[in-house]
Amino acid sequence: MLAIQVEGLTRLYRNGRGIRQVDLAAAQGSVYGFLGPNGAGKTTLIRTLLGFLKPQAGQATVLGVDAIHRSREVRQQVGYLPSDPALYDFLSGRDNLEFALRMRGTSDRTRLKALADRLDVDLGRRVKALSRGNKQKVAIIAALAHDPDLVILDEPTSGLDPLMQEAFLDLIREERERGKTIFMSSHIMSEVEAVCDRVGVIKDGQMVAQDSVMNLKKQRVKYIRAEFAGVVPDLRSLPGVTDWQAAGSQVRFTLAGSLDPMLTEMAKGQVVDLTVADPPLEEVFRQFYEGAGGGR
Amino acid sequence: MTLFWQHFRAQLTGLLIWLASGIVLALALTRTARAAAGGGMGLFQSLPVSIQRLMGLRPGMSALDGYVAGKIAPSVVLLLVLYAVVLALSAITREVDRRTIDFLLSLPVGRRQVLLSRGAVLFVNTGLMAAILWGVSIWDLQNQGLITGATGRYWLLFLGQWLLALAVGSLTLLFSLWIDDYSLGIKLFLGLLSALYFIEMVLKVVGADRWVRLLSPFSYADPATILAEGRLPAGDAVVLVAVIALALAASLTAFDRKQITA
Repeated sequence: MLAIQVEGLTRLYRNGRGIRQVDLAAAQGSVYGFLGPNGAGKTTLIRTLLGFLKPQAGQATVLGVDAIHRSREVRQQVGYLPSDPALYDFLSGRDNLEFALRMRGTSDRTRLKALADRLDVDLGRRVKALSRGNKQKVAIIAALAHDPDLVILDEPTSGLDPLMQEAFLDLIREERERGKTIFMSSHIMSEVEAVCDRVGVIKDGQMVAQDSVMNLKKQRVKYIRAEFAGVVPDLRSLPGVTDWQAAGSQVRFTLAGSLDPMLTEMAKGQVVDLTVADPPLEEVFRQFYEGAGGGR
Repeated sequence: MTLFWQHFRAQLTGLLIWLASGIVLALALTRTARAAAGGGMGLFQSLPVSIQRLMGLRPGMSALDGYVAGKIAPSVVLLLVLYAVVLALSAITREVDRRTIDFLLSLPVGRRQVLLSRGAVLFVNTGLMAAILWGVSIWDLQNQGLITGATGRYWLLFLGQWLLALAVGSLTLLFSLWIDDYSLGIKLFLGLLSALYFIEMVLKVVGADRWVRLLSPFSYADPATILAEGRLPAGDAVVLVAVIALALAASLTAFDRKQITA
């Protein structure tokens, strides 16, 4: 079953930016990474799912509920962490969280306490007096304290120190193990690679890719390193070969597309060693962002 | 109720500061009432006619009524209206400006609920402010022996000015829904109100027709009329209540349609 299903969603601003004809599907119990450069439309999509923005076209269903017309029901089941979270600074962290839980009609405070202990944050202090990182922690607790089935996180680790980032990613993994769905936008590829099952890439308001992390890496270029005994075959004329570097009996190059033509050509020589490596995720997304390779 | 108390709590410090300033002003005015009114109508009658008009005085008014209508009421209403504007801008515009609207609207609350809770705080806080300022003023005038009989006419001033502050606050709430910058909103609305207050004064001095003066909110619930006739002018009350109702209804629709961008 899908936790989020978006079809043809369009929300354009007067300056022509926004999202257009976006299709997206996030399965329940998975971690979905939503990636794209600044201004690509990530936050616009998230805000449309939560009813902050009304779309001009398209449909969106969140946990089986029409997110456009029954936004309040959606928000009852969803936890949301904005990219730049702001809490009521005249209240303490605890009072902010109590307010949120009361509005949700939740009386159980066990999870709130457990999260506060885990993220090591003093909830008794006024938000005004908290550092950015601690405000971020309170906002994370606000998104998770009511134990929602879906958590939407917009740049969740900004403001957290590296140790806390790791603790947060562990928390995300545990939520997934508990059957919860996480939808997170991020710029940090290592964390996307570490926790996400599936990713969607948005560029200029349109989805340019949506697949599992593993498949995306496979579909894109591969880094090839080969060593030959004797003559090194010239593979530069093969389709998709770039960044050709030859040194003695070794060659390194990047290959886009199928491996078959390369292997056929290599077999004409004597291959001593061959390494085919997936590029780091950063490289995959750099290509999407720059429009170098298109997408699905 | 949670939404109401949360917003009331957010506005409490502001309310106390405005109240403290208002009480000091009201007491400063009532403490000088005896000196001003002690010589009968002499002080006011010795002023040029245009200044008497500017102060909203009427022929035949008692010295105390003249002082209340000409000095205390204009000061209190100005303070009340300014407070109502600030409060109305805090309702949504400040939440959008400070991004706390994201936290609020991520909760399962309806936008109408949010706006109505803000309207309720506007209603309660302006009411509290008006009641306390007029309460302090009437109490001090009684204490000094300047008011000896019934105080009903003076309490009508409270009612009229509360309605006026609510009407201005409701209109501000409505138009503020198109402004996401709190400091810009403050400058804009306080500038507009100052201009209207000044225009109202000029129109009073030149003796402009009442219908022209009705373009300014400050010509409604006229203190001299209330004190002279011992009642709130029905036409003014109807207009103010209608403005409050229409502005709040329009605000509900406008906020429902508002796009909350990042």
